[in-house]
Amino acid sequence: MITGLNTGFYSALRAMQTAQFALSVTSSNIAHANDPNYTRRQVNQVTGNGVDGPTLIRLRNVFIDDQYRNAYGQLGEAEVRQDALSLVEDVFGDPVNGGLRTALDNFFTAWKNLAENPTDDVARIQVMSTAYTFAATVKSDYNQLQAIEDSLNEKLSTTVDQVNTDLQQIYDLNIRISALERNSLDSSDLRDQRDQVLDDLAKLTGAIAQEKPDGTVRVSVGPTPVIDGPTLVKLQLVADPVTGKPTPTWMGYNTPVYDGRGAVYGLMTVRDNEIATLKQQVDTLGKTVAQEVNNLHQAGRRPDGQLGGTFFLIGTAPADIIVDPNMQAGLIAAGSPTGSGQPSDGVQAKAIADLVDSPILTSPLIPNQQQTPQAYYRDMVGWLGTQAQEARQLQEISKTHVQVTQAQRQSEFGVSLDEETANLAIQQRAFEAASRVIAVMDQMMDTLINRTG
Amino acid sequence: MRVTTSMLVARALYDLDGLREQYAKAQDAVNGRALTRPSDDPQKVVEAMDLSGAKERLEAAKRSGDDARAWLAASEDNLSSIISHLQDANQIVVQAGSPGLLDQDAREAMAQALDGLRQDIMRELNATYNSQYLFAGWQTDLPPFTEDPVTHVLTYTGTSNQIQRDIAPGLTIAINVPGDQLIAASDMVKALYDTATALRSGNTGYVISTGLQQIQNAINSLSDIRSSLGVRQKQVEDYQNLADAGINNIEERLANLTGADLETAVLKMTEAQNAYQAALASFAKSLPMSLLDYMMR
Repeated sequence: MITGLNTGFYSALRAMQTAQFALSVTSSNIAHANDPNYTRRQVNQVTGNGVDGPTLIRLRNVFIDDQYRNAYGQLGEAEVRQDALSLVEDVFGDPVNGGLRTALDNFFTAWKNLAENPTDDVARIQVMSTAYTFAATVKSDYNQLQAIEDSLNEKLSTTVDQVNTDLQQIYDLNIRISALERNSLDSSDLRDQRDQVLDDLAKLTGAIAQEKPDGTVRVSVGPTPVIDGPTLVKLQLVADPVTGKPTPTWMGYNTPVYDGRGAVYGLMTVRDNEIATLKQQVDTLGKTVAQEVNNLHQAGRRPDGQLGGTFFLIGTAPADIIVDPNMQAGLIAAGSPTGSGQPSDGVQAKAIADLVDSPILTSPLIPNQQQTPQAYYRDMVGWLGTQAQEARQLQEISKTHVQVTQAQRQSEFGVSLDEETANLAIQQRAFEAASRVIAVMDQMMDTLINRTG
Repeated sequence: MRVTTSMLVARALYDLDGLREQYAKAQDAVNGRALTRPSDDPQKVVEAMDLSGAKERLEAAKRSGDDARAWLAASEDNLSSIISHLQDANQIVVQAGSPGLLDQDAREAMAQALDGLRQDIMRELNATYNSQYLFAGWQTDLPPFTEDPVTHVLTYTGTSNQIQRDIAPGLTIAINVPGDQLIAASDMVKALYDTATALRSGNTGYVISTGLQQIQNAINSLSDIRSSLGVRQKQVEDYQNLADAGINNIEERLANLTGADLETAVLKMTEAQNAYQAALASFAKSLPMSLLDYMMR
């Protein structure tokens, strides 16, 4: 059969429909030009004379998505660590002139002063006041670290909730997308939504998504598959049996501990590594100094010739040191153990002042090495500094990495206004041309039907 | 590579962010706050802490040194007085040897002069500085020497301890002379009494042999002690000068570490500011163009 006017009509009709469809796609693209999660659509021109109309292609590249999510996960972890560590740095104040170091120095300087002027009441009062400050600073530093830990735990709880919400959303979207695609309907918007949630989940947990042939995705966090077909595993916070701290674990029969990365992991490492270490070191520093001072003080002689009493009360709770409430300026034992309270005998006070140079603490960084209190504090702050610096550098690197992969993604599926504007022009012309074809066909049919015979 | 408008905007914002951060950092350096947190530069921070500690140590040593010098000077002054009193006594006793002064009145006058010198020496031995007795060892609240009214023997009731001061990290010196080292002087109080008694009773032989000898021995041994005080004072001065030099060096190094080099910092800040302004201008010019501007019909 000769293909002629009839089929020509239908071709032209289909061309017009395609042009209209393409125009609606273009207008939808333009409408979402500023939406970073929108994947641009293209019309898939159907060749030949089949029955199917034009379909939509959603221009998404899974490889770049994977790279982006990888980088985004690292950024999530690095950001959380850097924020938390900069808060921790604030606890210790100015590293050279502030905080615990000054309190320690002033305390021992006051003892030295007393050693040289044992009869001077002002020197004695000075020892008491610097002792109060020292004990208070140790306590306050510890409490501030504890407060940061508490706020991290809260943040962990909200993050876990967010993870669960995301997981639930992905699960629901999976069902809907596979239903739509089974019925050959367009699921692009839902897929865009699912990709956005997958991005967020990647930031929080470093999750990896793998698409399956039925349109659903399998989501794994670390080695644990959390969404796979009908399975959905959620996260919960369980108190660790040893330390009592809330630890994220997967709900289910054999609850494996959380083994992913992302913001959740970042929060856990800051809490369990840096903050736990610093809390323990502040506690050790305060209690060791207090104990050594007590030992010397109890062996020394007061101005009335008696042995000195306890200077600090050391409790069992962490950082629980206070000046003994029974201790007064006049009862400070500055004299040597063998003396009998002579006024210019400041030997014991000098011994206490010399503690600042005595290796009474074990170095946490170098095995089997003893350190002076100042060196211990310096190493503690130095270690914190390197950790915080590392976190900041990692955050900057991750940010750049994210920015680069995001640019690549946008390059793949972002909307370019220039392109869409050009498309508008093309489709308009195509529509005009197709309608022109119909007009010509119409005239020809008219000639055939009305003018012939 | 396909470039969309949102990519251009994102890139520009990211760059502007970076430039702003550099500007803020340069500003911090100008204000001398380059090392505000340990993570700014951990190695420099650790070094700065060590230097700061060393500087405080030196300053404390300097203060102790000042205290030491004051004590040593006071002790030396009093010791010098005792020696000059003894030299006066020496003059008087030498005169007793000349034949023209053997009458009662002259001898009485000399004995009284010796009594006066004896009391002066006694006073010097119980001298104070800063309301603390200089020659009492650690028992600085009580006069160390008491004279028995009958036998005129001096008993020392202080301690034999030395008062120490740290004049440099790890170096201590004694700043006092405990009274039991001044036996020469305390014995002289009894000896001068004996000599005065001998003068009054006309026993000039005793006076010019034993009396004179005792005075001269005392002057010699006290002069030795005085010169040791002088040596200690010189030591303290030397270490104070070293401490001054040390403190200067440390302050210079600390200034370098905490970034107080004003010219470089201001230069960097100006550069950062210029870069930021240039980026802003180019952002404003390049972005709002698109095909739509040209295809309006």
